[in-house]
Amino acid sequence: MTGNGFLQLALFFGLILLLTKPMGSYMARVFAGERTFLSPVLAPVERLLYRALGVRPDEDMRWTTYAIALLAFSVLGGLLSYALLRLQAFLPFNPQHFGGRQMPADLAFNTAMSFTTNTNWQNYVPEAVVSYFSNMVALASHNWMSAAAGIAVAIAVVRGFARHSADGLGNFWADLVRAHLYVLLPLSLIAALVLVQQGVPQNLAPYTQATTLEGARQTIAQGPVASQEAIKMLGTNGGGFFNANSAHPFENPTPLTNLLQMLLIFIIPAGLTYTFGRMVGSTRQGWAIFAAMTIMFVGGLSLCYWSEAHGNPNVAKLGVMTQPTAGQPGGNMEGKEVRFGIANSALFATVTTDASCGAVNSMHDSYTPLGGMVPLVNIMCDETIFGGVGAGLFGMLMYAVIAVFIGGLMVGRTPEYVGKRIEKYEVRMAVLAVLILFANVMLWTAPALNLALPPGGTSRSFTDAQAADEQALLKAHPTAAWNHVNTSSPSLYYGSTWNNVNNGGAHGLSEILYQYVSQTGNNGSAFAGFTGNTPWYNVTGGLAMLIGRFLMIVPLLAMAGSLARKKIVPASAGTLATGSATFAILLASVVLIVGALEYFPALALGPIVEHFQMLAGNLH
Amino acid sequence: MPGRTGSGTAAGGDSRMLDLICIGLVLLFFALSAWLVRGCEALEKEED
Repeated sequence: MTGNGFLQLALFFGLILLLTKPMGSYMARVFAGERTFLSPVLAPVERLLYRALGVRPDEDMRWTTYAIALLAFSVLGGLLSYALLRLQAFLPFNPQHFGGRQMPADLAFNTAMSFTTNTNWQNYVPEAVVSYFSNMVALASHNWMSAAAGIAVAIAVVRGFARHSADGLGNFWADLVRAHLYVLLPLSLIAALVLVQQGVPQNLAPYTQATTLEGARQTIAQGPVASQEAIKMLGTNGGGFFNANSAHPFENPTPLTNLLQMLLIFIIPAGLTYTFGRMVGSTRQGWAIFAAMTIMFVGGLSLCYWSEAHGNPNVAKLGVMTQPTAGQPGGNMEGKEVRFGIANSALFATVTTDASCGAVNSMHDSYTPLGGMVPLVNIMCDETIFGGVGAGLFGMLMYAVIAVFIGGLMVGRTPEYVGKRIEKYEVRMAVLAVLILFANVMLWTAPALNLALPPGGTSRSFTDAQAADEQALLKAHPTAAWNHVNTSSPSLYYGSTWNNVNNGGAHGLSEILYQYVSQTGNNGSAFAGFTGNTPWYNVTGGLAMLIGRFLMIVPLLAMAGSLARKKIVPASAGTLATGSATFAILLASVVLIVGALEYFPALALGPIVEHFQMLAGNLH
Repeated sequence: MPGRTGSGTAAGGDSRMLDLICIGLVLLFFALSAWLVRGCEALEKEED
């Protein structure tokens, strides 16, 4: 841990703090339908879109209509992406001639659901599988639409708290259009231009064939990277143009782009806390939520940075220099970019998993046990630490309702939040949303840890010359195909789903657990060290992402709908003060206790036991 | 899904079956979500 490292962390958070209020005020105006400095340019486009889509922006929707509109929009978008991915061989902008063989049905399902749900989990190598057209139309379009849908839902939930005896939560289509036009479009346009200026490619050219100094041939992948990179970060999507994601020099070439990418991840989620305060008529309430998020962010970042800066003591015992010097960063540099070092890798890992982004500039699988536990726990907090665009705020409001209820019981105060009385129905809906997320992780992880598919405990592979043996296996055991690695050569059948991990023991458990936690939390970052491109993992992962996104949103919209119909009651002496530092601490504690501690047994079997193994000298 | 092999025949007739399964799963999920909306709404009315 160095002074320089701390300075960089402080610079990042200082900038977020500075941007929160202007960004939040601007979004409050946008979603109230008020005039902004961009209105002279964008208002005519907005009106044109409403006319073309047949939308009446002032038409309020009940929560049920809002939810069905969101679901229908997302499901249709997901199916369209699925079709485009499967049919990419017949579509334009495909100079590498990628087709359905590279994108089989189960992988297309996983990928389409991944981008639809703002997860951007990628079970494939993008530059070796996806055409430019698929990238821009089937995938990047969801970077916009899923982010805008998340913001729309957050605004609808906030209206539930802000409105007085109202039946509706706003108009989904109008919120969607405004989020696109006024929030995502201008910011990503500016960000993309800065990225191009910093050296990120933006073209539609075929991959360059280069000859290296040793005389070897090298294929240099490129394409419309900058435009995807901007919305990938701003929309907390995280799906990289390249497999190495933001560790790739074409995605993240300079220290400035690294800082910009992290700012883009946090700017909307942080701003939305202030938007909430403005909309409910008390910015203190927004700052209290911001403070609760900050407590958890700083706690996670500190642990991650400390753990990575100290590195693995067993490596130090072997005589490897792990202390920072002027020439090297020290600590655990395995899986990290030398140009980012410990501080910016730990910060990026914390930011991307706090915010359900999932972009990475280092490999989380290579982190120390406690350092790697931080991204895992961040996502287990149900992406409430700033969280995804929109998802962070509505997730935190879900916990705020639970915190008010628990706080009220503890000190005998009336359970009220921003003037709304919290009753049985709201608490039920909030708890239902929390339980859906927890059950979704555990119900997929548990079978994946010990599902014995043929050929059994050991994997088998077949070369082309062994095709007859392969067919014999499939004839005898058709279910073996469920854990066959797509397009593998030699053709690989893992058998037991435990075989897909690259590490045994506690670390292997973390790899499988991280997958379903990341997919349920719609984060999309991978622990790595795990091969998920098989029908079993593609299909179960796709379902985990759908459930994690939409089955959580439905009860929250129901909660908001119920709150909107209530009267706003003035605060009295019996009201729990929710715009205070005490409430921020209570809220952060509730997230950690209710959210993350549900997973404690799984954490104890994974990163915690791995940490003690490391201290005992059993982990190198 | 016999025939879905990497070095062998890759996507064949059986791939269409998997396509149908995947599309069916999405539609099933939509139905499940709509059911959850109905359930939450019914509970809301009950509470009222």
